[in-house]
Amino acid sequence: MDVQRYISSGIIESYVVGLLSSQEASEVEATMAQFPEVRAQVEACRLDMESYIGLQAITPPPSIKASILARLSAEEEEAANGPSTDPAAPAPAFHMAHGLMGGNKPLRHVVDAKWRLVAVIFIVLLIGSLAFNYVYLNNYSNLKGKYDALLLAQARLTKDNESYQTKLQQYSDELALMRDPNFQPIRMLGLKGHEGNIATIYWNAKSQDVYLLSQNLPQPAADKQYQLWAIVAGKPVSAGVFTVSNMAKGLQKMKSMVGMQAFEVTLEQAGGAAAPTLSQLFVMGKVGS
Amino acid sequence: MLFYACNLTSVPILGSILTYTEAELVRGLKARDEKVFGYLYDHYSPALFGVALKVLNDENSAADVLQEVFLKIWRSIDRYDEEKGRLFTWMLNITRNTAIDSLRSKAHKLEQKVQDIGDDIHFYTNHLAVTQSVDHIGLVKVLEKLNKDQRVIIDLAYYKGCTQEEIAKVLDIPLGTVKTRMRNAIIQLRNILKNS
Repeated sequence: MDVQRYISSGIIESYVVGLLSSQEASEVEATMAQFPEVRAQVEACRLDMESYIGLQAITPPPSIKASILARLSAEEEEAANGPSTDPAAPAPAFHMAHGLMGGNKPLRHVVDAKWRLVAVIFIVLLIGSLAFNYVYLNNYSNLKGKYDALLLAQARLTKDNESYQTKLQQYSDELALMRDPNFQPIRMLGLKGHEGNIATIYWNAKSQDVYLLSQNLPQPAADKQYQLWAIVAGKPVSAGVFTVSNMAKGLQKMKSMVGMQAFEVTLEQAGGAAAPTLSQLFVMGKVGS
Repeated sequence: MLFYACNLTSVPILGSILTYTEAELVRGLKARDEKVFGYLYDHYSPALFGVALKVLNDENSAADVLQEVFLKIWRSIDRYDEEKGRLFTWMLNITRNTAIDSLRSKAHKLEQKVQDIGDDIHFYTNHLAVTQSVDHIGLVKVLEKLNKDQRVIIDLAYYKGCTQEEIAKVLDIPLGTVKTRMRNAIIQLRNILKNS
């Protein structure tokens, strides 16, 4: 190898300033070990760099030294005592910090006591916090249950209230209708075989409105329905079908009629029939009787 | 005067009664001698702190690095090999590597590194008000005589851990000439140091 050429290539300076890759640096180190001239050049270059670095020296803040010594002291003591923190362990072998820092207390114990206190406080706070969490969670669950129940009750009350209002409206409408002097009641009584059955028509001569009140008609089969007929000029005219279920207890509006002599109710197939089935005639009432 | 920080083996430190040779320092450290460690800290920490500060441009980070460095020195003195270089060189390497690792963890951009290098004269002038440890006259002489590119090439490589590629980019020179440029810069530095 041409040592002079190697030296003048700049690889030594680049090595000293840390510019080389680790592989190149190992090569330089191998060359140093082999050629004393190279080694001398490296050393000379280092001295130059170190002078340059030395010119830029700055005294660090004084607290750093104490901090380093405290950490070393703790480390040494731990190494001497092993990982155990047995308070009865032998006195620390490393007293540097005490002598240099002018303190007499065993530093690590001071630190330990402080941290132990801090740790105890934190554990107590943590347990307290957990207990509170538990209590509050329970309270929350209770209240949530009660709140849900109240919501449900409130929804039920609202629904009931609505249904009462509807019923009240219906009753007051019916009452107003019955009190109206324009309405004429026509009672339809049970015919032979249907004694006791009864229904009433409320007819308004002015508006020709027909309302039916089913008071006592038997519940028909599912495929059957009652049908109201008006007898106009001797002929039956359908005034519509009606139900007698619980859902239709009040007055039911039927088709408007005028000029009829009587009303009658027959039981027909569901949907009604074109002409009354006379064998199924239940009740009948004459107008103006 | 210029060599006060590195030539500890021959120059007695002012105000210190005890002086140690490097070999004595190494022996003392290996023997876990508290006085030796205190001496080591007192006499080397300014140079090492200066390196950390130049690398990181931040006093708090540099202080953290300095602590880390002295802990590493204490813990790994057994790995120090006299054959490979002097103790001071070894300690500087630990400092530079620790500081550059810290710098990299902060993900500094190349432009920021170049900016940092340019700002430091002002930075050091400010520090003079509170510390006498910077050899101000010597430093200013060196910085005046070293041309800008020579300073940048040395500082970016040593203090910022830049690669040859990065330096070639900053100085706008071919990659293949970085090493010879570095040699010229160091030779220039050597001449300045000799003549001051």
